[in-house]
Amino acid sequence: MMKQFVDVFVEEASELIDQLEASLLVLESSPSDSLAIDSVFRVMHTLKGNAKMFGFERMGELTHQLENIYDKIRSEHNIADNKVLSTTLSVVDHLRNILIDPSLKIESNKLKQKELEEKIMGIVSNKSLINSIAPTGVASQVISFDRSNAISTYYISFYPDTDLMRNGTNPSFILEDIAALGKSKINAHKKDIPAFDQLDPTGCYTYWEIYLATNKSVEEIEEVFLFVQDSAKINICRVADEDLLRNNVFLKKIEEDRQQQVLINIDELQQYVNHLLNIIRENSVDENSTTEITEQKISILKVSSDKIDLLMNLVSELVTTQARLSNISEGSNLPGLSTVSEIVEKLSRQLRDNVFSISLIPVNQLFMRFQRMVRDLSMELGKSVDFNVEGGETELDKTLIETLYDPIMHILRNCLDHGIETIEDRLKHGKPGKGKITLKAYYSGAHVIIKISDDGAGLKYERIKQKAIDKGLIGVDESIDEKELANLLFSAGFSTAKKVTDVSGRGVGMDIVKKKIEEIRGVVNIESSQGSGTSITIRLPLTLSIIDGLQIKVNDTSYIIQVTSVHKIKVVDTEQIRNCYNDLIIIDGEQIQIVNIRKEFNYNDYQEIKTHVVVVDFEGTKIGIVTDQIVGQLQAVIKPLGKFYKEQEYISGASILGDGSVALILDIKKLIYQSINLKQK
Amino acid sequence: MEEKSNVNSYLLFTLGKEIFAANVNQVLNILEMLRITEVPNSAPYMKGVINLRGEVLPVIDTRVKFGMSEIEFNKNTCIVVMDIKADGETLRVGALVDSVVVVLEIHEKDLLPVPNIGDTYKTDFISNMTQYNDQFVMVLSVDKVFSTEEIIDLKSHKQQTEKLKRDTKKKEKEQVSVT
Repeated sequence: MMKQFVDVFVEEASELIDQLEASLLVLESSPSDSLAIDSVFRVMHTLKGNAKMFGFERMGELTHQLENIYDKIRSEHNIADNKVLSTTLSVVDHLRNILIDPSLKIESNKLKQKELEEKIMGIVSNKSLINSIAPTGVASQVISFDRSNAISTYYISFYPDTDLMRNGTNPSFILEDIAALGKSKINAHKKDIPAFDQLDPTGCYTYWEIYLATNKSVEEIEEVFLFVQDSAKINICRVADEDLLRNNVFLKKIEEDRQQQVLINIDELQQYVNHLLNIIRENSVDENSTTEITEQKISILKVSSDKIDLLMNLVSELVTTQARLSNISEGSNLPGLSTVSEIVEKLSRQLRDNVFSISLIPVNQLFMRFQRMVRDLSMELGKSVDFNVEGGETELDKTLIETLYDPIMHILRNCLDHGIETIEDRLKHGKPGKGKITLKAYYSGAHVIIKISDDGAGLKYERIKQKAIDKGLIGVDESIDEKELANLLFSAGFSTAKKVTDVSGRGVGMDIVKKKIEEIRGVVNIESSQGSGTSITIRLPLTLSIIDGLQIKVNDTSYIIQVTSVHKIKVVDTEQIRNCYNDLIIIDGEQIQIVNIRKEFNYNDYQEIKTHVVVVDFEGTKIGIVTDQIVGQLQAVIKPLGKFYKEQEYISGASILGDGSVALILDIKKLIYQSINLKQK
Repeated sequence: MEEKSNVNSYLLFTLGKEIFAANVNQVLNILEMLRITEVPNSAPYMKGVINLRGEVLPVIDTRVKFGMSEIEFNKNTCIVVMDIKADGETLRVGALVDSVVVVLEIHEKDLLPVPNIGDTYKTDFISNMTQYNDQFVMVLSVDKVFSTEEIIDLKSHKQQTEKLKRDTKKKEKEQVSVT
């Protein structure tokens, strides 16, 4: 029983310690930041209380003394000087050790405890060490209000082309998807519907106006329209930064507009809304404050990750079963079955998205851990560095975050060691003495991008080239552009650092970085301009276990390729593929290089007259993938192929299809890369 | 009780004319043939993958693994699903066999040692020999057979079987002559 509570304490304490460390680092850059001092004090106080309760006496003692110091700093508006901060930071390290070794059985921990206690006593007794400098008044830090949970109201008009339904889109699904984003009011305009004798039953004559109150961004709303954006006029406009659909006056206006079938003019609407907002603000100060309180009550549950993993597995099975259901319903004439199957499909997709969002955690949890490392390392190397973190609220699958720690750590170490120059060198080149490293995360479609950039010396292409020639990676006379040279850094055993340090430069770094990132289906890229810095981009999928895929058939085997990379699909004469010169064919007047799956897998030529070509984007160029046949689109639950296929290069997993058979997930990028590389050689 | 502890059950199956045995402790179930999804660019004995109750199961052509010709499917062809241990992990694998014969209880004393034919070739893959209906049966070390990446040369094992046959006959003759 007790053990269980202690486990919870240890978990909470390590979170608190992380928080403490972050605040200390803020304090270090702006020592008079009263918010940070408060935070340090609060954490110390909580840690002290909890530690004593759960028998972590040593932790209790240390935090008790430190709490006193920070209380003094806080109440007397002093600043925390370097000595206090560096002592506290070493205490932070020590506290982490205590969590593992509470009764200090390890000798070094025991000594450390003693040393720290003495240091703290030194600070407490020597009051003069705490400078009595008056505070600079208001804290200079600007706190940005986190808007991610704030609700905005959008006006959306959705004006589909008449032939929208003919290419298989059902507009009511889109409207349902929109409705799922938040609170909505939908007005359908039906006046364009022609008289019955002129009516084409497969045409779409209705258009819609939607008011949506949601905490989602414009991009997330646009995503709903992703597949119809070419066949409809869509306008999304943010009209207010609050939930207007709670306002009765506004609802009444919408209702009136609906009855009169008025087509909204955006400018007029905006004016009306602004006017309305002014009235609301004047009248409802009280109402606002009460709603804010209710909104803050959203509580956070702690759930063990095992439970979430189990839930994910169940959802994965549900998605597979649902695929089977739609398969059966397609082949059946039972009335009502297709409707039920479509609803189940929809529900399971929503369930899937929701469950996945549970296992997403903000990358800040990862980024925080680097702050300290960068600080310590830059001190050690005698370099001065500003470390900026942006987009910490971007969310990623927890398993991805765990895997990313080592690669990013290594890249940052490289930035500090090789990228950022010494202060003297920087000044000599007319740069500010303080270097800058930025760690940034953001969404891009179905991907998350993590970018690490520095303003250091950049890559020395000449030296890389020389090294590559020495190592026999390229020939002496081989012409190679900068991009290719930069990517050579990711090959095994490549390191150009003149001096091998214990920080980086062992030559095992970047290739492992690349391998680790590829293991989680990510792509890493490096860009650099000599003299002004380097940036490394890591592109990751949002989740690992389910993809939106396109099912294709080659040699009677089903394959799945990821939809995000598909540009278009074309039916081409097999004859044209067979007779093409240099693997180039013309599609829609464009010359496109092709990769023939049958050829890559050493199968015989395809015997049918027509073949299907999938045009995908590959690093900015279009590549045609020659398949036998396109089967359709599906959600694929990725299952590992297992140890027996560990040598497999092109197949990244498998998925069970609706009919119970197995489809293989094709790693298109690798296939193209290999195919093109082989050809060049 | 004592006697029981020395008895183990074995699944007997055929590859070509040879009979093999695997300890049933490692056998999960036996499936009738179903559609196998071929995986391109893989080892010749890796036949492909199947769906085993929602999991993807790799299937090995045991005939190819033993250096025989590729399996020909007929109504007797089966997939034997087994758990094997390799590098401290348990892996699940399906083994294609020509037919399944019987599940047999074999007493420990009926398990004969593998004769040494003076060849340096590893005999790791076969743990014992035994007899069933006057035919010799090779008891497989399933873990080793399916965790290795090499193709097992069965010829040397055939020689072993023949030597064993000769030895047993000789013994029988000796016994006859003694009596």
